Amino acid sequence: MTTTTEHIKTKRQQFASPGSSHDRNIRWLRVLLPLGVGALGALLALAPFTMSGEISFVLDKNSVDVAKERMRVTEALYRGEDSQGRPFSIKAGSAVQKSSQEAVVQLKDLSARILLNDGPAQIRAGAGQYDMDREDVKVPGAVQVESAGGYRLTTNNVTVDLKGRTLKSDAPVEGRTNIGTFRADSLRADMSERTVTLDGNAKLRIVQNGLRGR
Amino acid sequence: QVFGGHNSNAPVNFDAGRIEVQDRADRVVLSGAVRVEQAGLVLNSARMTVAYRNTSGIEVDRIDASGGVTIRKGGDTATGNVAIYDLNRRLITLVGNVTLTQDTNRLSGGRVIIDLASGRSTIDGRAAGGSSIGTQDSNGRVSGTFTVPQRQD
Repeated sequence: MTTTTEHIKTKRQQFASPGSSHDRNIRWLRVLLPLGVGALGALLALAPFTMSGEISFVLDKNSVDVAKERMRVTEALYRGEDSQGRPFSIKAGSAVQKSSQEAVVQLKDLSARILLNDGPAQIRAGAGQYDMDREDVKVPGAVQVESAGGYRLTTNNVTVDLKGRTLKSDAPVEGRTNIGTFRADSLRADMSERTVTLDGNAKLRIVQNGLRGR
Repeated sequence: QVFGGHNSNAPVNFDAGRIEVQDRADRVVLSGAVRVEQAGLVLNSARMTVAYRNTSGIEVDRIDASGGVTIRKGGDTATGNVAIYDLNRRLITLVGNVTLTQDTNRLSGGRVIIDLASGRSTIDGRAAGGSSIGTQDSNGRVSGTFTVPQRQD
């Protein structure tokens, strides 16, 4: 009786015998599975570089908001010393430094205070460019100087040299001091000596106060 | 009657090649073809120094002009080497071969003092204090030519 049973293997034995479907599966899997592992490994290794877009959380340099100027300050205050070691300070409504190469700061409604022989003086201007190395302020618009000793000077487009306490301008200027109004092709004013030198068809108009007896 | 009735309180306009305002010394130094004008009176010279007082307002006290001075107002002209215009006393003192011309009348001498209020000018031969500052003076003489208007009757 053993031979017939030999032939009728149970489904399980049939399944386990060589050459059965299980063997075929295993034969295929033996090849496919390692390939799958290799492919998956490659995919994961290369994923950060190839896969851009949604899954990448690397910060993209050029799409973020880059600040144009190097430094923006509101209510700026600069301090320095003039050639005689006396302190001066520049207060500004806002100060913007374009780039780190040139130490020039664009100031808005600035007021500088310096010390002169006869007391403090104040220089006010709507806008100016403060050069930190040369310690001078280029003022394209109007500038006004008032000193404690009653010395007034209003003029425009000058360069205020805080170190030497002078105002220089090579372009035509006009303005007024406490004695009258003037215009000239170039100006050089020394605040501590309280002199104003006008060059190039200079004009000065002194309005007398007329209190003198007729 | 020369330069009469001039108002020394009028505003003063300066025009020069170079102006230096020395506030501390209450002085203005002008050079280079200086022209100063006040109420019609025009003064030209090479150099000029203005002294002023800064009391309640600005009052020019004195203007010293040197280097060939010509003073013009209306028809009258005066020339000299040096001029001192005293605004307080309203006097112009011209020194150094002075000539004074009014329409056709000409006067020349060493020195002239023009009173701007009355317009009277006194001219004399002496150069300022006898020290001749480079004036080829006609040895102290005063010369003048006057033309008398023709009588029409």
